Order: sequence, then structure tokens, then C-alpha cells
Amino acid sequence: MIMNWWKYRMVLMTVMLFSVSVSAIGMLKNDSINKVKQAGEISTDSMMLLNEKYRLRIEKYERFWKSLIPNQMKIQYAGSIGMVSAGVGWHYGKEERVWETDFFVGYIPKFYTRNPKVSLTLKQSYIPFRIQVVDDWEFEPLSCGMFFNTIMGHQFWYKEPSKYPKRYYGFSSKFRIHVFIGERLRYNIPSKKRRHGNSLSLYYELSTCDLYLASYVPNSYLSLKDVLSLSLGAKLDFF
Amino acid sequence: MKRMYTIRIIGIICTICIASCDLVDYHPYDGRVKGAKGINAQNIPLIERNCRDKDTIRIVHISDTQRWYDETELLVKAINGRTDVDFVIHTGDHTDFGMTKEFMWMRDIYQKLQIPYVCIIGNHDCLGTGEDIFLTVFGDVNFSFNASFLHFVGLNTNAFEYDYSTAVPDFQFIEKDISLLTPEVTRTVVAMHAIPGSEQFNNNVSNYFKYMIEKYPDLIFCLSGHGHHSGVHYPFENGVPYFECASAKEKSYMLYTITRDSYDYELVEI
Repeated sequence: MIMNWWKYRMVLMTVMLFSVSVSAIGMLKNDSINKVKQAGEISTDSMMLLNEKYRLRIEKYERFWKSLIPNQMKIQYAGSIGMVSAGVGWHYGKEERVWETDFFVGYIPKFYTRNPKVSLTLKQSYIPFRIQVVDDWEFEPLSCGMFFNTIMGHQFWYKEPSKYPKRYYGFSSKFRIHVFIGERLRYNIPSKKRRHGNSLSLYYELSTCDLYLASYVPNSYLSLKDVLSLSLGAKLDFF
Repeated sequence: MKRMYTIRIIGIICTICIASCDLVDYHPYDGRVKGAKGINAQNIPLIERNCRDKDTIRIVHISDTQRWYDETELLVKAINGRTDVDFVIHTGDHTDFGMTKEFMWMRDIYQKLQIPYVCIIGNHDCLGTGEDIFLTVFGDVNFSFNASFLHFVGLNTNAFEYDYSTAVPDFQFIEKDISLLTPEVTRTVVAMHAIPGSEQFNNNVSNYFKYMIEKYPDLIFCLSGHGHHSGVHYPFENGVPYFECASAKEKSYMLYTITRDSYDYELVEI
């Protein structure tokens, strides 16, 4: 339990950078997506006038930045990151083994506290299987991963304020690490019916966080039901 | 065929949703309190009624139960095994992280007590949205009541967790409380989480605190927690003992027997 939370903050930032770069690399390798994107590129005629090395470099540059365009959005109910959370993200990797990185903004009503609160979440998911159920419907029997959550508000801190003696509390009230496991149902929208995206998924997930686990492990009084958090959500894949 | 599948799947999802309402959590600090609220305000009239005209008051003192749920359950069972106790006082630190669920888990254990109890705020209960949840679940951070001849005062002394916008300890509360005392009250016990001299206390005013609480009629002793070890402290040279109760980890509680002219204390290990 006694950990240097400042280091955790550094880890979070590294993981953020890592996920973004992994998603970028993943997207670059994903040919089907690149084909869709080439439609918007500068016409080759004008390019032919320029020297080849420069042209390739520009193409690469454009491909890189285009790969950073979010290709999915999610909306989620509960799940310890807000009553309602909305996010954009990236899916990448092979079709049968998908990785996802999402960034959520969540809203927490005030209930019995003084103010409503906003929380930010960075989530990394792994979806290793996909089973066709019927026609355009597919079932994803496992999605798992972790997410990092931070809550806004002056009453929360990453690191204990300097007035406290060293390791007075030994945790961060602002920064949470969660792990989750869940399942999904996916509907691949037939091309004729597509309006905003090419597939729609419904999901549920069960998650728990570091502090809940720290309470659960030493106490038989607490059951798994006490420390698990359910979320329900929907995902739209743009492309 | 396709439609049947869809209906079945939606049915399964709905069943899962209904069955798992308890699993819905908006955030560890969301402040979504379910179940009993305002416990001190409910229990204080019970204590006052039960103790009316009694010549002997017996108090059980527990403290610092944070994240020791199993041990706290044992303490509650042990206290329920007694029939001679008038009320239970908890001198703070109900939670370790100030999370909303921690308050509810702990409260549900206390609610099994067959004797009325009152709770004081500890420094851990102030973390995050903890203070708001304490106010909701247990009630005001400063309170007082009369158990027959005994005036019992509970104070918030966790000044380290607050800034100057909040008076900790609240001398206006003490002054008003003294001015409202009735003549049948002849003795006083003051309970708090952190005692004068500890890093949580506003030590700049500790002498004034001593001066103010001495104005209460016949201050017998003070009760505290925070240190996690049972013992007696004398922060001032006025001879008033400050009894400290150990954390729930030690599986012990303090028992005080107060009469109109004497008192006795005992450390009970379960």
C-alpha cells in the first residue's frame, strides 16, 4: 500500500504516450483503414511535379497524423468513472485481436457532497476473440484491460500536500487504477444502412480499483459484490 | 430466427442489469449514500432517554476502526454480549481513504450494535469527499448531549485537515454549549479524535482549548483515538487524563463507569 504515488503519475504519462504511439503504429499497419483514408489525399498529379523523396516523406507525414484521428466513440453508464461518461478512442490491431485505447470524460452528480465532479479516464482494452452469432451480429466473449482515472476538485490530491509529514496517508485520493473484464455484442452495420459508422457494440464490464482491492483483501466481511463495479456502454466505430 | 436471438440477448442483458443494481458505482468518492443517515441525531435522544435519572453511566469507547472490518465486527459482537452499557462512543477514523462505500460498510457493522452509539470525525474521514459523507451518515462534527448528570461533548479536533475558514476546534460551539447547560448536569466528559499536542491538533490554541473545556462543570476526563494504542495521556498539567483507545486491530475497547462522585476505567481485550 505504501507507494510513491509521484512515480505512478510518471507511469501514467508514460503509458499515455505509449498507448498513443502504439495506436498510431497499429493504425499505420492496418491497410484496410489506410485505403479508406487515401481518398482524402492531395492529388497525385501535383505530387508528380515534386521530387520523389519529398513526396514520400509528405505522404508518411500525412499518414501519421491521419492515424491519430479517433475512429470510435463510446458512451458509458457507471463503472466508477462517472454516472455518464463519453469518450473517443482508437481501435487497432488485427480484426480477430483488437486493441482499444479510449479517453473518457465523466460526470458525477453531487449527491451528498458539495459539488458535482468531473473525472477523466484513460482506458486500454484488449478484445481477443470474436464469434459470429447471426448475420451481422457478432459476440465478443472477452474484453479486458485497465483504466486510469483522475477526478477534478481541490479536495483531491495526486500526492499528499507538502504540509503533511512524509507518507502520512500513503495513497493518492485523485488517481485510481482499475482493472476490468467484460463482454460485448457487436452489430456490423450493412454498408447501405451506414450513416455515422460501420459498427455498433453494446457492452458490460465489471471493474475494481486499487483502494477497493486494498479493502477487500484483508477482510472476509467484504464480498466481491461490494468491491465490483458494473458499467454498461455502447460503442460506435466510425471506420 | 434473427429477431428471436435479439430478443433473447436483450432479455439476458436486462436481467443482468436488474440483478446487479448493487454493483452500480459512479466513483469511489461519488457521495451516493444509501441506507441509514443522520445516525447521531437518531441515537442521542435514545441515550438521553435511557440514561434519565441514572446514578451510574457506563460507556464503551472504540476508535480507529478503518479498514479493519472483520475486527470491528468482533468488537460489535463483544459489545452486544454486555447488558450493562448505556452507550458506545467511537472517536473517529471510520474510513481509511474517505471513500463513500467505506462509510457505508462501516456503518452497516455499527448498525448491528444493540446499544445506541455516537460517532466523532477522524482525520481519515476528512479525505476527499469524506467530510460531506460523515455529515450525511453520522451528523454534525461537534455535538453534545446529557446522559443523566453527565454532559457528553464530541468535538472535531482534526485542524490539520482544514484551513482557517473552518474553526477547529470550534470555540463558539463550546461557548454556546456551556451557556445552554442545565443545573442537573454536574459532570462532563469531552471526546475527540486527536488530542492537544498531536500533529492534527491546532496546537497554537491548545492552552485556550484547555481553558475553555475546563469551564464545563467538573471535567472528569477526555476521550481520544488517533494514536492506535490504548493508554492515558496528560497533555496539560491540570491532572485531566486523556484516555486513548487502541485501533480495532488490537481487538480491545475501553469501558468507563461514571457515578456522581467517582469514575473507573477498564481496558477490555476480546
